[in-house]
Amino acid sequence: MTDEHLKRLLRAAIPPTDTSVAAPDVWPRLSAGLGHTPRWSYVDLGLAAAVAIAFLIFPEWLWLLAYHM
Amino acid sequence: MQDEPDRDLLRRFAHGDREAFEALFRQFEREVYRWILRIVREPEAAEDALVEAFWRAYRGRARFDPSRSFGAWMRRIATNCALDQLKAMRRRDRHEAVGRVPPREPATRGGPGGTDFDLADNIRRAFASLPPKLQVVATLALIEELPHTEIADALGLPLGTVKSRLFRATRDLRDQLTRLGIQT
Repeated sequence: MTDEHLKRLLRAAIPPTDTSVAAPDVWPRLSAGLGHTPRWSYVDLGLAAAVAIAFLIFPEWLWLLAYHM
Repeated sequence: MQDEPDRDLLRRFAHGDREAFEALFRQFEREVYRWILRIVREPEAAEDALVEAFWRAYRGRARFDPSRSFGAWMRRIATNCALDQLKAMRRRDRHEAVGRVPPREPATRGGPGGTDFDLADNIRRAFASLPPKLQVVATLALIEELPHTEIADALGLPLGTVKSRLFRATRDLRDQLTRLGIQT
């Protein structure tokens, strides 16, 4: 199967999007959410604390973290 | 890409002026929505990603440099939101697929038990099973036929990475289709 053939099959199964489509009016929803700032939940705080404590106890894990970054 | 808004409007936006933000939203919403729709391909999901993209833009306004292109900055944010949406859709589909009937196979066009519908359905399934970062590149390059440089710019990736992802996506897709019996 050549690349061109694969592309033809793909475009037949998944047609390109219609670029003339109108955008929905999301301004009311958007502006309503502007004042909200995301906050850390207790789960987030607990996880962050657990990770910080783990690195204090096992500082060599930082190398492992650095390797995966 | 749209005409760039004037520098004063961008400066006001960067300082948190809501009216400037709304003016920018009105100018770019259609373009951003179409861009997201090209990636996620579901109007409802695209709408959610559109809202999220402009929220992120507003929250990150202080990091925007008014001397740079707002359109390019916004497109980068929109691409990330679309990718997140794609991942969420993938998780939802996986959750819903539990207990569902497995895909039909084999589905060679005109073959025994295979119809054009089966073929298209299996191609869509194979495509949807690509990792999101490969799927995005394949969607934009193979389906939407956008230039690789434009894709690289929107994804914030080097051109070589886009090409290698496209290569991997094509190879994976070909392997999957072959496994499903689609040789044609």
